[in-house]
Amino acid sequence: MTATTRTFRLSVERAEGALERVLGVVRRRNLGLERLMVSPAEDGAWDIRVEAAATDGEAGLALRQFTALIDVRTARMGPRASGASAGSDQAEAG
Amino acid sequence: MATAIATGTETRPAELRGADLVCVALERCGVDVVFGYPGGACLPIYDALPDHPQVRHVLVRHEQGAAHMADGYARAAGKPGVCLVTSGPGATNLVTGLASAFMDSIPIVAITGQVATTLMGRDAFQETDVLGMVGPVTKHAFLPRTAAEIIPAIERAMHVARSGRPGPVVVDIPKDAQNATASVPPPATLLETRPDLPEREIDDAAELLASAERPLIIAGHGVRIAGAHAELRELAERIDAPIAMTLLGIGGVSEDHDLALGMLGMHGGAITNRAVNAADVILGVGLRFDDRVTGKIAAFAPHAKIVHIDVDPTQIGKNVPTAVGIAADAREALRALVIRLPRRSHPEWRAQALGRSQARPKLDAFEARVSLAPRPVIRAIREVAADDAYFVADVGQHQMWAAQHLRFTHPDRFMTSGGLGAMGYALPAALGVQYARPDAQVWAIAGDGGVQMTMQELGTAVQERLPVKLAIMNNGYLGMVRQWQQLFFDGRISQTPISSPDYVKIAEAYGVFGAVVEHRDDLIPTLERAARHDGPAVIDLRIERLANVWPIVPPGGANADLIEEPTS
Repeated sequence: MTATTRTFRLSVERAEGALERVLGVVRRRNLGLERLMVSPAEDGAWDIRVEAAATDGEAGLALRQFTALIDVRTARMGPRASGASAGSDQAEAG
Repeated sequence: MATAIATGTETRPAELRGADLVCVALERCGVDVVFGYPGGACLPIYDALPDHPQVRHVLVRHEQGAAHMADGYARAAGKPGVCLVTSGPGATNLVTGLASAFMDSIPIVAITGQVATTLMGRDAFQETDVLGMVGPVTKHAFLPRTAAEIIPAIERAMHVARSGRPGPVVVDIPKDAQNATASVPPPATLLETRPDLPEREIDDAAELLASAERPLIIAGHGVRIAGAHAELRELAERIDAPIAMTLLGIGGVSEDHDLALGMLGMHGGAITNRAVNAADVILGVGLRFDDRVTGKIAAFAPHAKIVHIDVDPTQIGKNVPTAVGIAADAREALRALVIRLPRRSHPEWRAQALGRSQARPKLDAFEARVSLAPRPVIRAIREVAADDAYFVADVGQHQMWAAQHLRFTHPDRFMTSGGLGAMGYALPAALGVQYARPDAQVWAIAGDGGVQMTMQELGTAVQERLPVKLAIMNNGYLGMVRQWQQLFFDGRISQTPISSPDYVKIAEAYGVFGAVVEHRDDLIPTLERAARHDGPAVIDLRIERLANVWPIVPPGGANADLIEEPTS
């Protein structure tokens, strides 16, 4: 299975350590982190976009583990974003 | 100067030391016991504990024991177990117990002392990055840096530990926060928000189950956690579906029930695995379909459409493809299904699925030949133990023999480290169970390998007067590993023979009852003496050295390929 770049879009509570916990999933699933973007959302959460290389299986497990984090409100996965705007989502959990 | 404030019935100084705030938080959360071991970074909390007698402390002999005791307590009491240790080695020693609780969805709140915030990151004495270390094996971890953050962190930790899919949570409290003062905040109101039942999926599942000709239910730990025993039984009877159980699902339905099949998977019964193989619709309730359950996934239940109920949405579809996934509390989902489903009858399927197990003449002959075989030993323990006794199994061959042959008719009487498979679990977890159920009879069943990992907790049993009965299935081997070497590594026995101390002398040294059994004629009388003894007891059961667990599905094989008994 070939690893391709995936985009995970997360809505995350602004809690101490939340970003580290998100990155912990990237580390534990051995995803090839390529880009990480964090921006404040209007609802007081953080919008986090993680772009990382992963196989289908790795990406699916990572999405589940993102979703299982207490701080994560929603987690979605889509193909690589083009430019600054996010790509279309393929899967949703949370 | 501190002034007094009144909160409900309690009157406390306006400001308390952080260490006292820890105790106040525990009191508020209804914690009656903490399993712990003191050390430098949690000394202020130990200094505060005597002023809060509502929270009893059980002194363990090793921090792994504290985590397993909290685990056993949580399983038996139905509420979070709490442990308290110091920083550094105290925290690192907890990790196995936390990982076991995480895999088995057991609510634990672990409080770890941490070096002062001014020392954090400086490689201070007994400093470890606790949050970094426990992340993968806990639901969440908190680091309150000030005294004012302590009570909210502990209250939230309790909430997180028991809500949704339960699990362990760590609160790592720096020593300066324990020593600083802060006011007592009002109790937090933390309500568990449960998602609405997914009505469309419930309808789809009901339609699938109603159309099934060979329905089968697999009951996992989620049935027990949700208290869905009655709903499970009602649904099974309504659609006439046999019930297979995972290792941790044992006790979700009485094994005397007409529809109970027993355990499935690697060491599951032959009839159970064959029924799973033949089913056309499977309803999995509160399990994750792990590899010990499914065997080779591509060959698992090849004729079945799977309906999967789990409170954790991330489990659905993770390991097996599902026709319908229902992310919901097991009890609520089963109740909704019962309402929707018509009564069905499948006499032919029942006869096929629940048919008598084939004779195992080679296994019977083996048992007749040896002086003490494991199956009769487990059955003797069952015969001697109280009807409603609790059994806590360690990990290995004896764990599977216990799961196969104890036959549980009372709910939730079987505990074991199912997901992690942590050797050394049984004795400390049994002490936690005994603490939660002081009037019950509690048996720990361990092998001679596992018991040597944590048998120092006999000291805790004596000090706390916890009359656990410890049955050691002693075959001089790390038996399960030896069995795999024998069956799957061409019989090359490598580092699995293990010597033991004289367990009777060990028992006597701790001041508890000790006895050894070498022959079947002595089995029942000795077990009866241990059961009657008013205190902890150790029984060294010298079982046949080369006995194996049967059936067994070869690793990586399909459940249908199980080997039912010795081949020679």
